[in-house]
Amino acid sequence: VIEDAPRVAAAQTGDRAALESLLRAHQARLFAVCRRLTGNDADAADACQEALLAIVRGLPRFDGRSAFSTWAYRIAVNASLDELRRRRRRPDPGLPGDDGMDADLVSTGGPSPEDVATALDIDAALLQLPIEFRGPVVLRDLCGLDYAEIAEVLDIPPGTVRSRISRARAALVPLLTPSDEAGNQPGPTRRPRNAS
Amino acid sequence: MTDLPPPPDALDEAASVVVDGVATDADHALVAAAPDGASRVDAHRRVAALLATPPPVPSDEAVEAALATALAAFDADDAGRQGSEGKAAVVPLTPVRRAGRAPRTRWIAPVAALAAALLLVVGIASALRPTNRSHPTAALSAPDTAARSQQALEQRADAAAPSAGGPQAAAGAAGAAAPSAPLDGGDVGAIKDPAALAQRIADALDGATVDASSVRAGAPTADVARCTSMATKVAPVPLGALRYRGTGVYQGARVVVLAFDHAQGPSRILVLLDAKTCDLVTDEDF
Repeated sequence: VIEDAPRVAAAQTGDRAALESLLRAHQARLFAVCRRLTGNDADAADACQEALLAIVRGLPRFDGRSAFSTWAYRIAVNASLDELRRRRRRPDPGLPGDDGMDADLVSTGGPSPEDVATALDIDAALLQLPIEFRGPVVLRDLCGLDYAEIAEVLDIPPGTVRSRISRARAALVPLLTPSDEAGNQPGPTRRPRNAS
Repeated sequence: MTDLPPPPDALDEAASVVVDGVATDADHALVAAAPDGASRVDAHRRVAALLATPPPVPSDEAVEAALATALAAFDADDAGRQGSEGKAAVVPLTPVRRAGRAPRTRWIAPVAALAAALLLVVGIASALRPTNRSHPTAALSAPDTAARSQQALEQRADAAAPSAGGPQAAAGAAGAAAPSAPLDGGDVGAIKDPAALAQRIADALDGATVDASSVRAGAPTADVARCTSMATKVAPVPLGALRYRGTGVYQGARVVVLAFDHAQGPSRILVLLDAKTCDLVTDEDF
């Protein structure tokens, strides 16, 4: 694994190859974050594009106090939030979670948790969560960041990170658990009350 | 649209930190004391595992378009900083857009196009001046930074190459005169054994092989140029002169194949770099 620091330093001095290498190394993870936060490919592509542009423009001012990856994740999260705000302002063609998938989940019966997750779509389940809960759990479980890193990315206290991750997972348990298992779940199997 | 998660629950929070491996003794005690503590941990662990599943990846075309757009912004900014000495802008010719959605990065195209036009004029003027273009990198079609970096690297490396006592001194006639340019290998195909490839390259470099055609054909590609300029940063040891460059496929992945003299000592090193990221895949002394 090649460290980012030399490539960042080279890119900051105008080394285009170093910049390209840096972007290539991180693009997939940034897209994954955008994908899970926005919930669909199109918005994720836009958010990821904006994030890459912001990285290119902001790199000369990146001071290295945090890891490049942490800084890049922060940019990707912010780009995703911007994208979600834009999406609220334009006609919504329908989100994956709005098309009766809960009913499908109840009627399937018997599939493995993985199959259910595929049918329901992890993105649809995540979209049931407010974004302030979605970010921490995605950065933790998808990106593998620790609580301190997530706190730095999201600019919230580590204790809040811990609380939001646990609450997010608790909310996702019934959404990502087969109906026959959900009935036996010891956890919070009730449907969370609607925020809107 | 979205639902508020359940209110804070001490057992859920304890189960969650157990899953993350950061539980305190108090958290463990809370889980152990609860009748459903273990199953709650299992539920959180299952959710965490599902969320760790990577989402669908975009197509290669979409990735390349996104990177090209970002690099075009870099080139445009860089051209602005350097004026007429700026670098060529890479502008995606077929930007990926979705129907019904106005591209929000529309300002990039005119800026990059302006920079490209400016640099094209500079490039044409430079091309019309008589220059010595015998260097192999002249085969590259675009005057990009990577190629220029490669030239600079090679010039530095060539200058540092030992005139005697190195591998060339022990080689035959073909290798005796320290070449000013590396051997261009083109695509060597599937690489099963880097050590065997290193030996073939050594034979070709030293003129000991009768049939060296398999490792000495083809012009350097853009990947080769880009990764050559990165090689000094990712190589495990200080590098001397670049002796060989090419491409191939190693363990199912496209790689750039480079061979350098060691900066110190008589041996050489073969490095295989991921063609996309230029990360070091493996290396082999020979």
